[in-house]
Amino acid sequence: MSAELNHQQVSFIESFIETKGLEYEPLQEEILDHICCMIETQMNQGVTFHQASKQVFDHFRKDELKELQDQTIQLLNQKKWTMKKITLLVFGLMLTVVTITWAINLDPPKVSPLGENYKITSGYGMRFHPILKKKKRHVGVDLKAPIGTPVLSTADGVIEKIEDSPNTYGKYIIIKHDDAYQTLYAQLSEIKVEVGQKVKVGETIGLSGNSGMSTAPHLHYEVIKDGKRVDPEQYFGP
Amino acid sequence: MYGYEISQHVKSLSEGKLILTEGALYPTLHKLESEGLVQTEKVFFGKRARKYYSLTTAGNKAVSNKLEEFQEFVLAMQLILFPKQAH
Ligand SMILES: [Zn+2]
Repeated sequence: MSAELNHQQVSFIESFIETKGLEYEPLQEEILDHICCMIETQMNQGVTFHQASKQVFDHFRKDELKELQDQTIQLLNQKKWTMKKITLLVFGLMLTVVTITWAINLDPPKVSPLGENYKITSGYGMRFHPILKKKKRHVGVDLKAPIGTPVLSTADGVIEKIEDSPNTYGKYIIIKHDDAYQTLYAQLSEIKVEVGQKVKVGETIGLSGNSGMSTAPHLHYEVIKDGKRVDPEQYFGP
Repeated sequence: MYGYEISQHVKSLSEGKLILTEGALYPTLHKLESEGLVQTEKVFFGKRARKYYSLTTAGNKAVSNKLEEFQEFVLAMQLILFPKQAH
């Protein structure tokens, strides 16, 4: 598990910041969190709090924090700061703030929703439907999955829809990956995410089940490109 | 994204070559906020408060304007550097 500083340790950092002359409140709490994060990152790599905090205090040895504050206030008071003057740094920074959203926007699905070990029991395309007893287009793939198998997001994205349609999909999730791609995971027994939540590729979003109209426990998986169901097997990686 | 996350992100995007110091990061973020280009949301846990930044509509527009300018610049450079490939 990742380290989280306790109350006492946070207070210790807080008093350090105060001794450095950082008094502007909005910055104070932000720098406090920043330093705590720096220390926690170190601690996650096995460094003790004592060593990690010493390193950080070394990092802000002189007047860095006071200067940071003065620069912020000076910049805030600058009236002539116009859009045209956006420097490369500021532009880069703004880009960075959106990169995560953009990274999400650029990722088509690229892995199987069950990880490396999967078995397709029914492929995409026309097939004889075992329950309806007639030929029907299968718009996704079925992957063999004992009930309770973790189902993974196949790309970075945002949970778009969670629903339960007992007669068809059962419990299912739709993830939106970008303007073009969505993926759908159906016949789930349990859902571990909420609508609007960001997910990373490989993140568990639910557990497989047998919740809709199906003969054996499996995961039904669809890849939707520009609103059309395409063959998910193309997106199972190399 | 919050401040520390942004600094780490820049570092990892640039494979460690680019270090965004706190002194460059926070004043700029606060200025962008006061200009209405980014908005913030604060989450409290214990004694700590974490400020999450995201682009406002105006910020988004500014970025895409700048991107367009940048693309035009790249295109112009391509015309100069690779005149044969340009069409
Ligand atoms: Zn199916």
